[in-house]
Amino acid sequence: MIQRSYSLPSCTLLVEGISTGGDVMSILTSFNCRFSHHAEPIVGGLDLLNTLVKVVGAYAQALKSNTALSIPEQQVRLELKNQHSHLLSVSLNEAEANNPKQLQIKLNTIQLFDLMESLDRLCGDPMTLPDLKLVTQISDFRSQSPLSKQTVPAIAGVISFAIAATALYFIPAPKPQPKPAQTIPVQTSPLPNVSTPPSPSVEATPSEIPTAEATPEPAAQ
Amino acid sequence: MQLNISAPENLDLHVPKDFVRGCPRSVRMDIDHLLLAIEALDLEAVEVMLALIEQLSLEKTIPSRVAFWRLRNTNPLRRNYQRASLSWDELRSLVKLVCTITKQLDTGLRLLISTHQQMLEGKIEALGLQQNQVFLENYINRFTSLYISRMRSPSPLNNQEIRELALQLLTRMLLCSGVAGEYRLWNSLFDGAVA
Repeated sequence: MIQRSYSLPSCTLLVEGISTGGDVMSILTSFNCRFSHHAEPIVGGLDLLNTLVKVVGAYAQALKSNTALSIPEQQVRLELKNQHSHLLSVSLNEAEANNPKQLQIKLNTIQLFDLMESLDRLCGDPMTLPDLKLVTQISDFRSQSPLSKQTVPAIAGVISFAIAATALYFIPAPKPQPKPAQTIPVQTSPLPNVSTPPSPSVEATPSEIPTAEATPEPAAQ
Repeated sequence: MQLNISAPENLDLHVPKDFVRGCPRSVRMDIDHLLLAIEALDLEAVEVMLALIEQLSLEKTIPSRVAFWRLRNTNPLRRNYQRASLSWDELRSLVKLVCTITKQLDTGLRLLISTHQQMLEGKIEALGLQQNQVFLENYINRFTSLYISRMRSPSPLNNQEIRELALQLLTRMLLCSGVAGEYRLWNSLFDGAVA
């Protein structure tokens, strides 16, 4: 029986296991993660530890960009409450259906960092559970939920376009109407009539339009 | 046994596949902002970093003080931006440097982050920790003046945005200071970057 502990100011991770050869602990029997501000520890086996490593690692990684991350894990969840407050929910004893327990621990940024750091130290320890790997790639988690959300509008758009196209296919195209031929001479004939009477008055008055308007009035009288 | 824990050996700071066109703008900005925040946290930090270059044997990529300055000026928002980019090895060296120095600044970081949390919760007066609040304000003011003096003018961000950036960088520096900080920082730089 080997015990390894990883202590940080606000979080202590204690790992118990068996060695198959040498000093390397290769089989985990249980682990215990205790926060200094919370009486109840997180206790579990390898499955829970793996999930915890995955969720906490990805969450800490996403903290930089302040974007929501959906990690498809029911057993361990981390949610951002406000800028320095995070809620860690862990369901314990999931194997025993008769005694399920939901553990909720409020963490601030420093306590979250300590939890991440203790798990990182465990992952980086070559003498303890060498198979445990660090989680730093979060693009998998990010692309999962938006992809399904993005495809639905895209498909809906294509389908609605197809429906609109088939509906419009049955509407006959309007024929171009022939242009009325008489309009052109009618328009041209009044134009010289309108332009000729004011033209001497516009030329006589230097520039302004109001004066050009004023000049026809005495001419009418 | 605990003292032997080091960053995992099997991981490598490898360049993501999509980034074939060199170091993205946002990465250069991010790493320079982190260096600026480190400088604001501790004015001696630049000298310490220059000493660390030798210790970490990074002279190949950062041979001198001027070379270090040039690397920081690859941030496109800088006043002295010369349209130069970072090579991947130079970026790796800067990441190593940032993570090594943030490990040393860990205590100060924890103090400032918890002070900010207490400020948000309105507990500073009750706890009698006005002194810590002064430390935090000093850090923010130093960061603001460094930012305004180094970045192009008019400043790309207003004072409130600079303040938020300074606070956000505190959390980021804390995440860099762990045993796996290099990997976390390296991956977070490329998270959301455009190739």
